[in-house]
Amino acid sequence: MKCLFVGSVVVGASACLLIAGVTVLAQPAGQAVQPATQAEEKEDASKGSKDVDRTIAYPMAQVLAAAKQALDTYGCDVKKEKADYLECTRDRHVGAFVGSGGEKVTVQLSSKGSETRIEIKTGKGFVGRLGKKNWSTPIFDDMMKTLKGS
Amino acid sequence: MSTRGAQVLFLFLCSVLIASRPGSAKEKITFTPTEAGRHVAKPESCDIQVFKDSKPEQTYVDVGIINYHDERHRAKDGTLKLEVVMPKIKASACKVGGDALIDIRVTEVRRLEFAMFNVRATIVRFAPN
Repeated sequence: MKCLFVGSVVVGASACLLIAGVTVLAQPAGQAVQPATQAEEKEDASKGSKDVDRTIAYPMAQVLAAAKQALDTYGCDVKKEKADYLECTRDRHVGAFVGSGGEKVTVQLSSKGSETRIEIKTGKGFVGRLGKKNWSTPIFDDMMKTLKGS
Repeated sequence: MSTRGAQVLFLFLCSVLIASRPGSAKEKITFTPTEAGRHVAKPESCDIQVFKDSKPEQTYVDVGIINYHDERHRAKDGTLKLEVVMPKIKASACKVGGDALIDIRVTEVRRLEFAMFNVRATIVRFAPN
């Protein structure tokens, strides 16, 4: 009996997830889903992303400003800010299957003469780990783009 | 627990999933001023010039950086396009007294269920002749 109950709950939950997923995918009446040819689908920026520990030839204040902009670009809201440290969290989005967001990114800076050592780390935590990803490399790349352009 | 209990649990799980409205997200527009002092706002429908790959010939001063960010379910990502977003960015640029947008950078990431769309631009004001 107990086995039957557990089985029915598992089957029920799976069916429910499937229904919710189909509902969401079928939802946008009147909102066209981008056709494959039109979509400028960029490769997943976080693919192969790893935590960063680099020394770059820019002053710390400039690096901090560029890092803040890069965090903004990836939807990371800065919660703690010091002259040598930034901490931000990405908004969590509920999905039908895995969802997205909720990662915590920290940026630690230390001055090395005219250069700056930068450490970017992404914390995924435990809840909803499957939908989370490492953002350290794309944040570093965006920051470098800003610094080179300035 | 009986089959009745399982049915109740099933309905509860469904209601939680449907009520959470997967993918619902809010767009976020932030402005970071680069110059001190107050900005004289213009009407929201003011004319804002857009310089995608060039710079204005007139002399200008940076007013600040505008950042548009939206992240939503891929089933609802039809509005994540520069031409859809640009009027909102221009309206924000008017509010801070800008004349033009330069250095426009678009970042797009799509993975699994979600799509992320970000536009960053510098708002500038032309120097008086």
